[in-house]
Amino acid sequence: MIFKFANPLRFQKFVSKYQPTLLYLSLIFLVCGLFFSFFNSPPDYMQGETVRIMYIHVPCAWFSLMIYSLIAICSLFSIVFKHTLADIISRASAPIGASFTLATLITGSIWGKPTWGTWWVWDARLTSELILFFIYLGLILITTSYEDKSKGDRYASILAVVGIVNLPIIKWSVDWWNTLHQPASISKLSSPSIDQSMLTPLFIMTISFLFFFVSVLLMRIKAEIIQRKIDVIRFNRVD
Amino acid sequence: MRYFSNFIDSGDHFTYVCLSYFIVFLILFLMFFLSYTKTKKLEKEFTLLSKNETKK
Amino acid sequence: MRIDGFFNLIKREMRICLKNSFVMISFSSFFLISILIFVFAFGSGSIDGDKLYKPIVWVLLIFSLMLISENFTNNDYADGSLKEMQFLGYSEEVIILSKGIAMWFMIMLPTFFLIPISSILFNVTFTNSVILFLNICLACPSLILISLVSSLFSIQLKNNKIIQFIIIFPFYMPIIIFTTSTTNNDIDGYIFDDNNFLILIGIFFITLPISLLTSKLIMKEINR
Repeated sequence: MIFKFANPLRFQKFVSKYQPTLLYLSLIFLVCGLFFSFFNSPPDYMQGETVRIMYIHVPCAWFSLMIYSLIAICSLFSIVFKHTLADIISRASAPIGASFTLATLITGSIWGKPTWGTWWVWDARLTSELILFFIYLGLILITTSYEDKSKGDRYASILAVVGIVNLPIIKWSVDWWNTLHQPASISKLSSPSIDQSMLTPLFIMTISFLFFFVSVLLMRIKAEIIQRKIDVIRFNRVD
Repeated sequence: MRYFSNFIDSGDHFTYVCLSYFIVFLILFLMFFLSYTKTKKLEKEFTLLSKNETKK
Repeated sequence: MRIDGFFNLIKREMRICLKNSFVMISFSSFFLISILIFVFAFGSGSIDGDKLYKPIVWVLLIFSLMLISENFTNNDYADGSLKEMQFLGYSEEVIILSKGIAMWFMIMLPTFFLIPISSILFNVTFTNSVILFLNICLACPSLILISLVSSLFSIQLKNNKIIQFIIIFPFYMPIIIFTTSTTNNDIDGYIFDDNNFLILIGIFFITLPISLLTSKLIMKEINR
């Protein structure tokens, strides 16, 4: 199955067919999510109305970690099997991951002002998320700095695999250290510690972001494949 | 609707929530817009180049 | 490869360092001049030495490490000796380890004199400067390995400084957090915290295999 779609041409056809559908699905879920976040969810007894920021902050944070995991898996795949599509996926995912991380940092900061009374604290969770943002920046810079694309991809793969040490730190920082950031409310699907009325918008927003991510990722992969084809044509012409 | 009207009347909290939603959607929209324009530009360039190649 | 080969490589690196005394001199002068600039910028009457001294020394040390690491990798890459060493059968891990050890000596030797001198300028007590020196001794190996890996990353780039800095930054941050927390400011001076010293040693043992493996992958990629 994986190797069937690992063929760039087949992949490009698949993208053209399903990418718009995914985007529409994302928009539909977004509208539903916004409805549930603003009309159907009560304010929190401690955080008040600012709890609504959680419905976008938490999915963004989940995706910032998930996308990095995807990049790391693809990088490992690229180092071991040297498959071009793994490089392309990593290259295409990095800016999306960086955007989600930036969104997480900004929304977290805005939420922190009314809740903690400050825009920023050097808390373990916040610091490790900031480190993740810098790792994303490093990946983007490395992939774009080399004239020889394959070289840039290889270096980025190595950096991505090294940077994975940061992921468990972000995930469990709130449990390891006595931080200001609250621990995860949804660690087990069977017994989440938040009410159903708040869980619904959170999950709908997450699904909307998931469709958005896959849609943009497919589009960027397509662009990357076309770019490589253009490079090949230009290279042959120079020859 | 009661929740929404309470939210609108929440003063400072309303501003914070709206600001964060605006920023997130702006970032995601920019991400989408930049990817979309890049893809379209490359598609155009590629068709032009491949046309020239077939002419040769 | 026999252990002699490893010692030969260290000897080679040390010999190059001592011949290229410019590196050590530039590190020392950069450190001292920057400290003096800080002292003059704060004004002699208003220096809160104990609070300011530590972050200033760390900032300077990190910038110096970035400057020096380039000499260890770029020069060898430029004159082809990096490739030659690999061709002679030295493994990539041994090459980078020998460079790391030589660089550690290069940093620690002048630091041994620079810390007491600069602590006088900042009115820092002798005990505090000794604790800081211990901190540097323990944290430097990890920092050196990371800076060597980052300089290998950007070896084939013309404008490599900014990339090197961005790659280094996320990996330096945890080390700096723990080095600065090994000493806490108190009314009587710094409090010695054993746990954080152990964490620093732990960080080194995590950094060592990861950086050696990473540098091996990068060096193979450089010669591809």
